[in-house]
Amino acid sequence: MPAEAAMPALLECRDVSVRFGGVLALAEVDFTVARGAIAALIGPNGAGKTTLLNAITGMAPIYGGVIRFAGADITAMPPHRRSKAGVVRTFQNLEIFSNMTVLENVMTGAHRRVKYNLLDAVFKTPRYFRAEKQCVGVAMDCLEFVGLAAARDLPAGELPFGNQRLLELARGIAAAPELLLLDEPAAGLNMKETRQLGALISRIRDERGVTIALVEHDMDLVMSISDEITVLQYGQELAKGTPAAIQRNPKVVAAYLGDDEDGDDDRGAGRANA
Amino acid sequence: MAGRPQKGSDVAGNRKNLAQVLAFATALFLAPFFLPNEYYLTVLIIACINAIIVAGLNLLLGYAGQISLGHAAFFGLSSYATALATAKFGLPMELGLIIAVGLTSLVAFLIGIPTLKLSGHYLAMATLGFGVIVYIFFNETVELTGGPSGYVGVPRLKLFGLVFSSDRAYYFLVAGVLALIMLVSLNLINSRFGRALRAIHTSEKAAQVSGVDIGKYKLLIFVLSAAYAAVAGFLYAHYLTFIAPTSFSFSFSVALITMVVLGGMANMWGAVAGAFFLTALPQVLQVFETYEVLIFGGILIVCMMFLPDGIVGGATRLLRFLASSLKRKQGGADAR
Repeated sequence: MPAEAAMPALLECRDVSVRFGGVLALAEVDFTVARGAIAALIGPNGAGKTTLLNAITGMAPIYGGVIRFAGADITAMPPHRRSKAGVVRTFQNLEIFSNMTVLENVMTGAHRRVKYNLLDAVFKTPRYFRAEKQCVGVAMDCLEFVGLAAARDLPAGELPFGNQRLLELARGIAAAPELLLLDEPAAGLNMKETRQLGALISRIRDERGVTIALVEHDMDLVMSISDEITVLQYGQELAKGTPAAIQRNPKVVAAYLGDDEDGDDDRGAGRANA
Repeated sequence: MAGRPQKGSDVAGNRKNLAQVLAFATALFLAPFFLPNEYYLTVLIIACINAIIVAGLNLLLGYAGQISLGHAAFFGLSSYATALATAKFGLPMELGLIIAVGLTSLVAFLIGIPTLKLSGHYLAMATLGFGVIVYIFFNETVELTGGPSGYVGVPRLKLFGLVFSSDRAYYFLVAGVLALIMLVSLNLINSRFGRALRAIHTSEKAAQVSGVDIGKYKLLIFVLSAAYAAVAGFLYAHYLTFIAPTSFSFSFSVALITMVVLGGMANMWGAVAGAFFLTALPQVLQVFETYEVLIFGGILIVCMMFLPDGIVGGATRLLRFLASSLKRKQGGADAR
């Protein structure tokens, strides 16, 4: 792994397995993200990409393996503790707080950074006002970063779809994560929006120092912004490498385009012979 | 910051909350001077007591989105706890209050740990089961609670040397407690805790990603809402001086939920409006005698059909509509 030698790994998944009943959704997958990198996770539908993201954020039960983040073992941590440790994600099917304004959504994202207790809130102590003012500042900064500052007081549910995606990003960076996991951030966006998103993701890494791991189907986006790509198929790692290497990898090409000679599906080939 | 009401937490929002509570407290204080007779004072007292429970239930149901069909049981537990502590064991009422609220909160805590792992219909069923069990307990432990015929002889309230013997004095106390509860609740909502609760309502996953310990928050708000019900139960027992299981039955739990929904979910003033409306309505409808229940049900149906966001939500929309049409009229006049 060349990337690892250059930079220390921020996230390290070793032999991670996830089982849903009798189905092995992930079988001993390794996935490493170097600090400061943009790492992509691709693969055909049902390959286990989102499941891996769920495992990393504590939302899927881990059957075997170890997940280390910044050197600490987080395998058994509940999701909110992982968030506090600096692992934050967005969702494929938007999970916007539709009962709040745009600003409140982002302020909720900064929840872990706002420090005051219940009594401060009930008695409105100076500490409450100081922290809330700071929280509004953080949230506005994030909204400006994604270009949604003008929509701050709108109910979040009224935003157009593309802007809801941006809102999720703003909410994610409001938590000041070390690692931001993006689950199909370009799904449902048109070409122009996707290009802008790609630029935005690079800016999150460059300007905010956030390491990024994304699951994505849009190959143009993946190839243009990623430092390293991991390809999954049937819950197993198929290939790993730089965008250029992945594009040339015959196994990956076969998995995506279907290759009759190798049989894109060994099980299918076996059945045919029998 | 014009236009839409700002629910977010900022200094302006906090000032608005304080102003609203002060106006509400003043209105409550003045209300008895306009009542035709003393009987209506009793209705007002009961309405305030109900509003205290509904305020807590609104935090739980309206904001955090967790249903409880067992809140009548918490109300009842507290009533019986203070009744037994003060009448049977002769303890001072201050201690009765502590025991009632402490015991009820503890029960809510213990019940909450397993049940709040459930959601939706399952949570409703679990809390319903709890309510039914407590109701049976009140009925069957005749030696302790007096059984179905109730517990007679709860002493009238005496706190810190003050005796609340007249209904008017009692009303001012209950109204003061309600105003205080409203202020505490509004302050709570207007903070990172309120945002966390509302986040749990719409997306538990996204709330967790934001670092919200959803299990802890659900339990916290469940216990807090039970504690509100306990304060109400304490005030109820020492006002009526007689309590019976029928006041704490399943149907009262349903009535409480109706008050939350009818008043307006996720709106603290909706909770008060719902409680006052549903407590007063049967009194007003008594003149219709046999048809009372029919008309009561009819009004509820009409409300739910035409006021999907509750009484307060509907009233706000109406005011906004009137304001905008007035502005349009003025604009037209200026143009001419």
